[in-house]
Amino acid sequence: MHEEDQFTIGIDLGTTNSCVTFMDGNRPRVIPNRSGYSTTPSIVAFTNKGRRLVGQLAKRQAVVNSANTIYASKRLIGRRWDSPLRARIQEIVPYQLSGDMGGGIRIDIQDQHYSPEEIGSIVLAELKLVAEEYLGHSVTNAVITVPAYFNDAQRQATKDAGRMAGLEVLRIINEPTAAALCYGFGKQNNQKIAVYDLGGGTFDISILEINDGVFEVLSTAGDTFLGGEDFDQRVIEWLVFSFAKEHKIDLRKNKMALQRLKEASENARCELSSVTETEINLPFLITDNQGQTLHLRKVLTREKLETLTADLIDRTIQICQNTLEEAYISPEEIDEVLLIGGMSRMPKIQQAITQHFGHPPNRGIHPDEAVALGAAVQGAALLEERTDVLLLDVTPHSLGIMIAGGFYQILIEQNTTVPCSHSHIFTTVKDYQTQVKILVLQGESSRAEENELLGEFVLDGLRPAPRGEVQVEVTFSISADGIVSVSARDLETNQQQSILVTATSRLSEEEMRRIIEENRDFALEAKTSEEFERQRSVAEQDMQHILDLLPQVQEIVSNSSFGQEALGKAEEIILRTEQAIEEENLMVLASVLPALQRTRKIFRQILDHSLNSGRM
Amino acid sequence: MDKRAQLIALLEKGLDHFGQGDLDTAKQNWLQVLSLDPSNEKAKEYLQYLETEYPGNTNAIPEALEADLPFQSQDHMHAYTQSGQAHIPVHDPHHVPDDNPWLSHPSTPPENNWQATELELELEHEPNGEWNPSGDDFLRPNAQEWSPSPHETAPPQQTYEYQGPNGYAQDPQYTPQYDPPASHAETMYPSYLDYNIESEDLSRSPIPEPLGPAQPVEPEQFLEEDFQDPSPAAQHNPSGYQVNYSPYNTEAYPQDVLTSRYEPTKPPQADVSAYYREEDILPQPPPRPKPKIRERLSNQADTAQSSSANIPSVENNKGHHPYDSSAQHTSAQMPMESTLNYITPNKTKHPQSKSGDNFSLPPWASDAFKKTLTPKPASPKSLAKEAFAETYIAPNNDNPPLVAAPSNPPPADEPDDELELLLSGAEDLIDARDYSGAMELLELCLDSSPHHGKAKSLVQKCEQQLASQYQEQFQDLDMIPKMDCHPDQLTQHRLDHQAGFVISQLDGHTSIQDLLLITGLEEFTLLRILSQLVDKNLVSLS
Repeated sequence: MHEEDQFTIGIDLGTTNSCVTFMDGNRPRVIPNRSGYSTTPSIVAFTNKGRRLVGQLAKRQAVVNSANTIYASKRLIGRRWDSPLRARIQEIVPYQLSGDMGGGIRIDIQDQHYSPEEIGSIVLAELKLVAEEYLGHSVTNAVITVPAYFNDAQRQATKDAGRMAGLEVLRIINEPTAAALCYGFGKQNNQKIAVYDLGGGTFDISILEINDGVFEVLSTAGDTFLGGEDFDQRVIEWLVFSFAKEHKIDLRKNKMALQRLKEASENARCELSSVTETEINLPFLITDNQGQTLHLRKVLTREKLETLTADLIDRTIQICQNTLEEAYISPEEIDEVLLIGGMSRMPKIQQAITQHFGHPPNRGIHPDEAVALGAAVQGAALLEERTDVLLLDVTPHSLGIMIAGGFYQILIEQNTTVPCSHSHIFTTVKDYQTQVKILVLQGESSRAEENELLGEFVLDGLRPAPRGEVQVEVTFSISADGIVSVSARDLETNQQQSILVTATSRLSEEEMRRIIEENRDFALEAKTSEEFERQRSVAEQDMQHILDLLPQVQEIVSNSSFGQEALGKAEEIILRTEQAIEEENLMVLASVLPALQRTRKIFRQILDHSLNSGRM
Repeated sequence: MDKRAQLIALLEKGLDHFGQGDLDTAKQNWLQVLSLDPSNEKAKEYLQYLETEYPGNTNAIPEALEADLPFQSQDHMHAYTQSGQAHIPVHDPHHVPDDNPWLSHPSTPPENNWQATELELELEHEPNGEWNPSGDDFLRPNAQEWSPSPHETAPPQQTYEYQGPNGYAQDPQYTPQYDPPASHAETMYPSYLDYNIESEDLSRSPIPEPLGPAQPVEPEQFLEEDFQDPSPAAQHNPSGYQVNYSPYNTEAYPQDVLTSRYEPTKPPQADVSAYYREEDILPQPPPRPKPKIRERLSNQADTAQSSSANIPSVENNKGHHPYDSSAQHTSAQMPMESTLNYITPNKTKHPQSKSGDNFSLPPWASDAFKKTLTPKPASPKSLAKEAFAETYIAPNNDNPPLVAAPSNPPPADEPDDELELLLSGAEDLIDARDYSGAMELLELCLDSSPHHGKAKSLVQKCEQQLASQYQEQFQDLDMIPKMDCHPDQLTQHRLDHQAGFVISQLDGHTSIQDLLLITGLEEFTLLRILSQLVDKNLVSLS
């Protein structure tokens, strides 16, 4: 077994931030990114020079290069162009969206058309790279989390993104389930828990029932347009209008000022979770019409922040209430409330939750990391084939087919534990009908058109007979990953047709291969670049040292021909090193580095010897 | 130093101290003037004012000034004036302003009654700088509650319809039914702004104006327009709730709105009024011109001075308040070194100033003057503009004004003379290898005459030289710039917003290469800013 096969990383691919984890012995641990942070912004940017930025750097230039920065692509993943949400998303993002031939969505950046899956794969590739650097070997296995409400198409798209990033996605699991796993649930007695997940861009609330290791999602709801950014926006508004009141300048219209406001607001909001007031100090924020450079300095209190965002908090509580009603559960029946997402640190939110559920929430685990840590736990369980923490997820939506009259016949009810398989027998509706069309749908509405079409296929070769005589058995199967397969069989002739619902994987194999190669190239380039920088730094230090010693060494060895020759060689090595650095040639630099280090050592020895023998 | 210059210096010094709230020292300065010249009316007037308005003569900062501080009233923030400029700390009476022209600029009173009224209201209702009026507050009679309790937050239009089983089950068809309340920005701020702009009685002056007659100022129109979200998305979604919720989405604002403030259109031809265009006083306050060109400017100003024989002296300049802008015209009689330091656009009479009725505003400059509502720092550009502007100001012998303007616009060939002067100054600086100084003058040239071939070629030459200088200075773009001073000390320096932005991105890990990516600035611009920051010892490279 290869070393990398022993590791499965857990990935929380978030809307605004992502996190990667692994199992260190029996404990899940977060892998910090290059900047030392436990989470990496799920932001990808493309510079004018074609450079690709991911994570922290991409976030920091997000405002000044907004048209070429893609964020919150998770909202688009697995969605179709005709999705109503697509239009709403387009309204709030600076990048352009377009449709592809397969009905999918593309993100247009610098004449390139990226699929949301591809953007997701870039973030995942970055996380993979971070994990590989940290662990010191390559990583291929991963468990990725998705929101509980993700449909099959979105799950499949996430899986595709993982594949394009060079990962083998062992399992896609629900975020609330992963969080519950991280909190250690599953081994205990039966419990009902609520997972309150208020992240950077989305809010989700899920009611889970845990019965002997089976995690059943009783109800899930949320708002895909409510998160920490909305809280930040309130602070930004407050600052902008305070400033306008004083200086009559709208800071929102200056990108640099806006970027600083955004950063400062986010920092202030985070700080106010632990302190009662914080100062926002932005010197030299903007230059006014008179040429004066103006500063912004405001004290934001926790109380003020709570006032500014009170309605947002109320919205989350209202959604919680509705979700509980949906599951026919009163707040008092909830045994535990788990808090997920950075925003859940806000004391006012915890207070509101305590008030609503009647008891304080569980705050045992880092809210930014809990989901990813749960994914790592699940990954390890999958590898070790442990059953004690092996998840039995449920399907979040009902599955069925369209029947005559445009109605929807459910075959698998929502919240059915997966993997599962259900069959139902249908008959023909017309006389001498020789083929039937099976439309596979997902959703809860009784009208077929109101549900999501997952795929379709035709079963032909039926015996021509009066209607109602021919029987067709339709079987739905859902794998543990939530991937649906549907088959239809003529019970008389045993003629069979089936479909694996992968229609949402709208990317062709060729395109996926291209993306995989591109991601690999970028990773290789990044690694090469880092290695070059490391070696260059060492080489420059050595060169400097040699050049410092050179005059003294020259003086010592000037009389010997051996010394002259050695000096000549040293100069040649330095020249080659400089040339390699200038050409950014890692191969040459790597080959010349040992010689450079030897020269340095020799020079030092010559000098030491000279000092010891009293020649100097 | 001759006696007159000494008197003027003392008067100005007193004004400086007065502006900083150091009334004792101000008084001492003016008493010193009287000891040298017992008949000095100006000093007498100032002292009388001091006695009348501040009988206790404490060292406290005048209330109006303090309230005008940009960052609220905090002890350690006394180093700011109302306009956001850094100022001499109060506890440092011996500080002598050197090469920062605006450091020595006297503090100015609240610029208008409107602002004063607002300040008073703010003091009355917002002792800690917060804006929390009650619903029946007269400040916003029509505005909704600004900070209601959470339970009272939901405005009438708030509705919520839950989506049915599992919310997202009908995902593709899912249309969020939650109709959130209109955002704070939409409901509260515009009302507030409307109130300020439209409802306020601008002629009212509810608090004592300690520093002289305030100049009524017309409310600026842009506020009303700017705070109505011009984005197409906002128009599509009048509630505006979601549209602005992407802080990265500056593209939602039409480009012309985004840039109009900073990229005003250029006039068709170069004339003197161009010196007052907005773009001339825009970002990048450059370093002061180098001695050679200053000498030239000085000569120009001296010419203006000698031609203004009828300009009344300081002693005869009765009826001017210490902060009356007309009083500052006396600086024309000071040595040029001082003059350069004190020149600001406010030196020229505001057209609506009551105390300056005896001169007329040149017709060609009237539009420009309207823009000069607030004082601005005397950047080298403005110094140059002022110096040249003064060459066009001639005395009116019939009714001697402080300054006068020709009845007709300046002759067409005069701008060319200015250009020639600037160009020759730039060439001198290039000869002296002061390329950054030359760039400043050349930028002035190009502002007036954007297609000036010689200026362009000289700019190119300077850029090349500067680029190579920067390349030498920043050989390795992987170097990491680090802050070398405490953030609180930053404001003591003179930087522009671009430099402020660059500084804000320094975290001890970000390399120059990364800064190029993050800031979106051109390499030349970024290196120029970094070079300036390194020169000021604010940033070091590792």
